[in-house]
Amino acid sequence: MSHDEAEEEVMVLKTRTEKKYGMVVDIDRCSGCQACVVACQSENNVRINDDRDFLQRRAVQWIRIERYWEGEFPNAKARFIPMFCQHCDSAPCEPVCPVYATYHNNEGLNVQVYNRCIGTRFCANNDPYNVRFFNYWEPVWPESLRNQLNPDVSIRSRGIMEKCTFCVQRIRRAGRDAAKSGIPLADGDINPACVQACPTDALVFGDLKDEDSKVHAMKNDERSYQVLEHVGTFPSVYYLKKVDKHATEEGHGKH
Amino acid sequence: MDLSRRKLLKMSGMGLGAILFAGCAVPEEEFIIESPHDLPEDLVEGTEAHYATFVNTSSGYESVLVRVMQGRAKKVEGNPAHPTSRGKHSARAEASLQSLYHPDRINGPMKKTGGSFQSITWDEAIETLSTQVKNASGNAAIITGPDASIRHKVVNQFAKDHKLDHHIFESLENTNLMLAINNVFGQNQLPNFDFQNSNYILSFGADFLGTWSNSVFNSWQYGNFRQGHSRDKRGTLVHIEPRLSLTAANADEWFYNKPGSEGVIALTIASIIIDEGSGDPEASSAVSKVLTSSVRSSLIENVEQKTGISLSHIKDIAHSITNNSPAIIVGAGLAGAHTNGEENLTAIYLLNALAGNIGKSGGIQFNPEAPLTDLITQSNTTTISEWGDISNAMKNGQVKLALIHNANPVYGLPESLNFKNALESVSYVVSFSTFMDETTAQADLILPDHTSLESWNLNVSKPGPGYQTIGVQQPIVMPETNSADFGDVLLTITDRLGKKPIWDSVKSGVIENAKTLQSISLNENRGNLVTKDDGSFDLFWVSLLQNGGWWDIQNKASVEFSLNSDVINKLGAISDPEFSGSSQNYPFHLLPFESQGIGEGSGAHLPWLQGIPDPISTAVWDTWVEINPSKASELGLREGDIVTIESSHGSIDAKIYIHPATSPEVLSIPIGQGHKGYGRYATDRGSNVLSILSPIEEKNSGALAWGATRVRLTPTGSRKRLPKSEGAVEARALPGFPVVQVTNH
Repeated sequence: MSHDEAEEEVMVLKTRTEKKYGMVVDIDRCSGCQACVVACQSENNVRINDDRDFLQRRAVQWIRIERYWEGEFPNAKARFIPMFCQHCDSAPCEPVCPVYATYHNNEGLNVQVYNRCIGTRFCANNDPYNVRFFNYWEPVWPESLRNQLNPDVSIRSRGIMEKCTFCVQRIRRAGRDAAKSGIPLADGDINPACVQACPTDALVFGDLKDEDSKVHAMKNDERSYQVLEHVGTFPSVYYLKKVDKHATEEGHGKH
Repeated sequence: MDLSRRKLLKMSGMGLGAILFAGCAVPEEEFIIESPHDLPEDLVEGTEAHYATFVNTSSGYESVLVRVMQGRAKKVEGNPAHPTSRGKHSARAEASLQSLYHPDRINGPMKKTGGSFQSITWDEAIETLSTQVKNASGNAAIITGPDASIRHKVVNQFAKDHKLDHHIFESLENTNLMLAINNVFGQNQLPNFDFQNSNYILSFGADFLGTWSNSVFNSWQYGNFRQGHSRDKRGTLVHIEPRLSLTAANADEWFYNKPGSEGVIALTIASIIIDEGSGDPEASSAVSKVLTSSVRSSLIENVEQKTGISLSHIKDIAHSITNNSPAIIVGAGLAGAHTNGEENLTAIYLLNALAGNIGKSGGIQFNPEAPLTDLITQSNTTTISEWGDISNAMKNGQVKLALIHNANPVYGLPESLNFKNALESVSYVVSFSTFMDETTAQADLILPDHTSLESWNLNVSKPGPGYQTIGVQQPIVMPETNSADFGDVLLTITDRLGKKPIWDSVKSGVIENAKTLQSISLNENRGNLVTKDDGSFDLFWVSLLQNGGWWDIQNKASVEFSLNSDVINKLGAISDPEFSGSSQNYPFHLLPFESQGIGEGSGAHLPWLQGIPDPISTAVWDTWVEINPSKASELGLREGDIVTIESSHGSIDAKIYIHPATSPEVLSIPIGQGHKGYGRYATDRGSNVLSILSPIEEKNSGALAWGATRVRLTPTGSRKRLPKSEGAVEARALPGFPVVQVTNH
């Protein structure tokens, strides 16, 4: 399939869906403080990552802050970017799943069905963003810490994949609350845990198809770009470029 | 469910229709995580409640909403109503949940008998403590952490009633900072830095986005400073510090300066502003009396050699300050951690007067005093020189009883003071800690306190947003263990010893102060809360708890500002920083820094905080040494090599991390690990860099100059991988398609 054909197919998909949830990340605001990382772990019952998990490269971070170095002392710069599932419209992780455990729902979410997953890890292998995590072991919490676990989110057992869901439990709860109260959902009513925590307001969540939404306006900003967009994944996450007045040309810092 | 045949047919018909129309697509319900069944009677959905309260983190108080389901705290979220939280919160605030449900919490009062702790009843505990307090009168001490709440008043009153000396412990003291703020502004509390409306921020060592001050509020302001919708142009941040902190990494320009030279840089900037006549006229003329033209030219001439920053860069900064009004100049951290720390910070804050930003939007705004006398906002930290005296008094047997709450001096004081031995000489030690930390392990009696989410309190944000913000802390869950409120215990003992306590309990103190707030609201028409004219308290009380506090947006502090000529006179010649250890024997400056997650060590028991990657090195759960890449290759060191870092007062081992933004002159080590106790997640992990600091003092204030220790490095020959987040996944960025994209406009 050519790139144009792929794009066309994605456009068809886009018109078919009712909503298309997405996120805009302003990396000029992001300070790299890690508040989102812990907020996500708390909300989504992500297991405790101890030092061995990091040493074995098996730490589970649905959202992580990546740090990139540029230059050398005394002109070294560290730049931060939050990285999480991009909920791609043409997600490379979806077609390789033999059991349809990962699929695209009609709200633009790339969804992982835990009780379907058989742990082939094909999806993680095909994922260019490295945001899917495999449970090598059963997650363990000391009994008292289990009090904190969120009853809205399942605990993932050994042998299956997990990843960012855009806090689908919050989307569902907000939808049910809206249905109960009769007050329709407004832009900004639904916030995944990372967005809610972000002290610099670097993360913004909303319906990309809603032309009055904040994310819709932001994704058309002149600083907007998508990570690895040349791969043709059509992510639902847009990034706004870091501003550095010392950068001489687009995309490259010069020091 | 009453299921008639007709209904069943109707439902199955609908189901069939749905399947037919959906074609090949799989019904979405099958995929929803934990989806409730769609039949209304089967819909089981937990009911959630949100309660506003405050959590006490190592960086201060944060106003939060806690999501509670079935009596259990599930999630911490920022309080959207609170002026300095704005619905945002830090990782440390989130981790207060793990503190509440920690598996290693002390379960109830305990007494040491024959070297081990035995559980006792609260009655026995209080009886024992009452007797001890009674007998030790005049020879007793109470050690607490810094606090800005009504519980502090309880402690003060208790110390007064029973003749205890009150010491306030903070590992990285703010003494020099508070002195400098007082010198320049005549204020006893930090002002509000109105970053979001500022055009230019010059920061000397103040990691205001990371670990210093109210980082959540600062970060919220920073976001707007960069990309706020109401701004004409993006603000510029310049950071000067010998280490690349989180704030330095976010700066447009970061400059390495020779440790301790911050004051000279600030005075040189002042000299340039005065020479060019571009600063505030009144302040310029006042400062120029001391910074005479000969002093100015000598500063300008020597600046490069003294500070390591070129004159042209310093000139650029000076021009930027005056051309981008309003500009804010802020200093803290390493800038004040030297033998000339107070002078450095005074010179830095003086620049704000020259920039003419005081009391202005986008500048420095003073915080008014709280309207409640019970709320003690100011506390003078005990300095290292005083800790030396206390330590000696303890060793000489002059202290019979020590009560310790929210402080871990055995861990946090330099080992050269030998506080561990000193505490052993105290006849009776009582700890109020919730966890078995190093200090608590030496106690004879433990009376575990509640955590933040189980207690009552009334406190203020530090710093405030330029007006009074009083927060209410309320228990949002039942106590998880058999703990008791520290304040209540003190009040009970006062009562037991026949004195009248100020309140029956901390809760009644909260209510009493809430009534005062109500009368202020009613009579002076102030604050954010609804008050009924009939003065009924219930409505006020409920809205106070719902909002999480009371803030007085209309009443800003009055700006009476004039430069104190005595202070300016002292700045004529900033003394050179002195260091412990010669540069021959100890070639590196040691720069300890507070960890983003575990702080100065008080968060080391919480697995979420241990697992937060350091923003720069991405290392977790360990202690590492940041070293310059060329220096490392010169010494033949690779990442993970275990090295011994030795000062003239001790040595620790740590793993090498090769850090592209580190000067060859320095080694940076995170504070917070190396605990000998403090629960399963903290014990025997990494090393405690505080232990090897030389007890070198700031020459005027006596505060610990924690940036003035020099060290040497010796490889041990062994190597272990450093756990870190970087490299955990394969990088997929291709040349020409960087993951982080940058633009120059």
